[in-house]
Amino acid sequence: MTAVPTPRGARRTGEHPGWYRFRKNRPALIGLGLVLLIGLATLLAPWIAPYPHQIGPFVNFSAANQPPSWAHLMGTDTAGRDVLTRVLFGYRTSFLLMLVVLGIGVPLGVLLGLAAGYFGGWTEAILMRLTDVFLALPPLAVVLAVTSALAPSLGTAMLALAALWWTWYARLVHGLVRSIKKEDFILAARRSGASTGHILFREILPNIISTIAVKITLDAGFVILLGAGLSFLGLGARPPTPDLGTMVADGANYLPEMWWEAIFPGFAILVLILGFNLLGDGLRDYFDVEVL
Amino acid sequence: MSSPSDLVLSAEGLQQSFAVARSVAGRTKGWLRVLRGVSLELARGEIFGLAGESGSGKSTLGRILAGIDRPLGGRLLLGGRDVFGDRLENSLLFKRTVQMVFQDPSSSLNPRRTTGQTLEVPLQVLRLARGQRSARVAELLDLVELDPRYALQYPSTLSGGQKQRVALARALALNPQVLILDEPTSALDVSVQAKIIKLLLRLRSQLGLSYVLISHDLSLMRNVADRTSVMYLGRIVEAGPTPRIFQGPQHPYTQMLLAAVPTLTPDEEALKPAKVQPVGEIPSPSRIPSGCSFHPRCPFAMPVCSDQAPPAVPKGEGQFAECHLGVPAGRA
Amino acid sequence: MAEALLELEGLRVEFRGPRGISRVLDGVSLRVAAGERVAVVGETGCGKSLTVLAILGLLPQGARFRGRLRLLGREVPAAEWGRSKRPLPGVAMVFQQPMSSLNPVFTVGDQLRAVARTLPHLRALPAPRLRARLLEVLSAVQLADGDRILRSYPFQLSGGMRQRILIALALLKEPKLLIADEPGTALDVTLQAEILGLLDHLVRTQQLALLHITHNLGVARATTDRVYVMYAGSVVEEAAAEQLFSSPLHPYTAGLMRSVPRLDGSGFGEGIDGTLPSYLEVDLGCRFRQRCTFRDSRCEEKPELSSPSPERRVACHHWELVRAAAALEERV
Repeated sequence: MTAVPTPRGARRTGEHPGWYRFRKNRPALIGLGLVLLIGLATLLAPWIAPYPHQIGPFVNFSAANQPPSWAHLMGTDTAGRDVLTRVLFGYRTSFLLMLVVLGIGVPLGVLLGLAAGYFGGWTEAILMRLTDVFLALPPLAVVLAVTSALAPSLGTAMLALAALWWTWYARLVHGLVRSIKKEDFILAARRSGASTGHILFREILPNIISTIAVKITLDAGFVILLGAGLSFLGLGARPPTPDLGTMVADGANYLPEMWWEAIFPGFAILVLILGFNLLGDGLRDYFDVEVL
Repeated sequence: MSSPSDLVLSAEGLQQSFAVARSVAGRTKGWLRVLRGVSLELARGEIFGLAGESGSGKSTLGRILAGIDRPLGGRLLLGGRDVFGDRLENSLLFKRTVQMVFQDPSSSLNPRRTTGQTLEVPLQVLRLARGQRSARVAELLDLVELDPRYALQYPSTLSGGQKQRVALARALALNPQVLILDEPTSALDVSVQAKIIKLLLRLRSQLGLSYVLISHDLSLMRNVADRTSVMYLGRIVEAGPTPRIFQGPQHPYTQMLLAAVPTLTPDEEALKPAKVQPVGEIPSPSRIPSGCSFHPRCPFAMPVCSDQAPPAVPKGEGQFAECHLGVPAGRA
Repeated sequence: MAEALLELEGLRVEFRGPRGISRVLDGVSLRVAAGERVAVVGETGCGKSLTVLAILGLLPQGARFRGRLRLLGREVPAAEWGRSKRPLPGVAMVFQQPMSSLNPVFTVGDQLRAVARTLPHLRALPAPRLRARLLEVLSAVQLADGDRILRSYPFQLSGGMRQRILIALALLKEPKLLIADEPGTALDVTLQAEILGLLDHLVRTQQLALLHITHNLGVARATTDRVYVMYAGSVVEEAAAEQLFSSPLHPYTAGLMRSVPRLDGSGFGEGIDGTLPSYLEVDLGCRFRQRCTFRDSRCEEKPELSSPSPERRVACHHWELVRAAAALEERV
């Protein structure tokens, strides 16, 4: 059966079909809004936070444990610090963690996946078995082991997460490359004399970059959640660095009376992760790709 | 026939087999014998037609001629050198002599690269400077009758015919002498096919190219190819100058193919051999019939046909057919 | 004229998309008499498949349609076709992909029985009688050894056998009208000829009408009594097959016919310049005029279907010119 005819020629006047699908997906727009809003607030934290000077080693016990008020929209913690201020700066730690983990894990995974998928044979066998081994390890347990063996710090946690994270990308890219490399356009490029580097990075990579972007967006929330979980267990950021996971852990000691000390940071994590997930779904529609 | 100096590419006894599903122990369970000794000679400026149905091995042959796959047996000769024996198939020399145009331009063009980017790939191999490259891209587009502004467009904004023109331009970028055209128009509508074929014919005379045209469309073959070879189960069963093949087909399979061609006018209808009705299907290359591989479908099959492979019997003027029917009595 | 089995009148189908509304079918009318063989021909994107989908109630989500459908003289309410997802009584479809239309993990018998169970006239049949009926349809599609076939899985059968089973599936519905969308395009010429021969045989022996969707003019000529030619979402010409192919009246039909390579080696024409117009643009003129060599100011107004003779219709202001030009060409 012939397909429904695609309109041609109207491309210049109309909008991008991906953007149309994205625009029709209201949750995705909300996700984009949330991520942009939180990202902007995080960037501008030193200027928009009400008490930026309370970030360092600061205590003011006379103002401790105050419920939300106009002066402190999210109340104050046991050291008398403004919770809203600390949430805004806590987001900085979350974003830093996410950028480092994905910044190391994604390029590493993509490179190994490209190599395994394209070269096949022994390269593929060794790289993919290695990936399987890493995937078989429960992530939290590994990070717990690594961080407790080394000194628990934000840096150690980030490295441990990055060391696990590349496997997902290696596997995703490996699968994509294996199907794309059979396409005629790869063969045609090779017959035109293209180098292996050219084929990997100019012919194949542009065809899978959108899938990787969607995966990154969906992953971002998960990395932040894991980072917060580690801090909650005392294995991530160390005080006095403001961190949402640490704040939830500390605040939890004072539940339910001083609820604002744990609930607001917890809610802050939730909103950011929700934003990333909704945005990821929207991007999936935009690029019209399949991601596991 | 052409003199030896006119030969651009020739093949001798090409054989190709693929392993069928392997057992748990890693042993091959059987072989698909896709090419069973194919020889051909391509002369300068010639259009050599390869006709046949799916499973005949014509695309496999095309890939070997284009240097993409190595054959299991036989030789491919280019300028007196054995291409696969001397490991030339990936050399620049071979790529600058033989290029391939694929069937479906939608899959042979990278959707994420503009026409210009696609055409620049072969030019980088030639180490042309940036300015020279863009001039050459414009020249190539002009050669396939596309406006230079198409250099900036992605395949998704091009029609099927325009895409095939781009694919053709890419094949021409290295100034080859031979193009292997694997069903170059079967993904296109007939009104577009006519335009692409006219372009191919013009390019042949303008650039002195030789084509190996692989097609299942016999009507197209009749009008385009100088010589036609009919393939069945991995062998060329009949070959010769195109008019002779169509006016005097000697092999029953050629006759059967011709009888099955849908036509538009009663004049064409009259050209079809009436006595051979299409029967049966081409068997799998994993179970090739004994003797003459066509005998189970052949209306003229004789006892000898299932025992002995028929010899290639010359029919004059370069035509030959592999059929026991034409073997003079006393020789078979 | 024989009694009308199926009458489609003024079918219009629109899609709302990112770039606005595209009207992909605009006033398609067609008629199939009992026992008649009708073809709808046209190139990719002309709307021929969509027309059939509308009749079968299989229009895609988001399609808006308007028009009238009469089946056996009875008006079919809009809720029972178009997007209804329910088959019309007495109409059966033969699908094009013999590989993907059969489920690989069930036997042919299982699949035939599953279809039979959805049919009112077969649902209550006891197993032995149903089996007899299944063997009957298998023999109707000229599949010998029905017992073995019922026990076979699709992968154990050849492409031609699978295509026959799809036809058998359609026959189970005891249709008055068989709709075939490009039967045999996935097949080779010899097999295609066989399948077309089978359809022809069924029309004669089972009192069926055939609505045949194809892009191949030769196939349309070989297997039908009457032909509709579609272009850009409209019927542009309608005529008895022999009349249409001996003297096309619409410039598009004429251009298509000139594009087809002929088996007699008489060459083929230049093809048709340009591409299909966008379905997004509201166009009050003739949809073909940008590609037409007969174009003049009258073409800015959309031509209605006119009747040069009782059995013929053409949507062109210049059909007399087209006919004269063709006659002139003939003499030269």
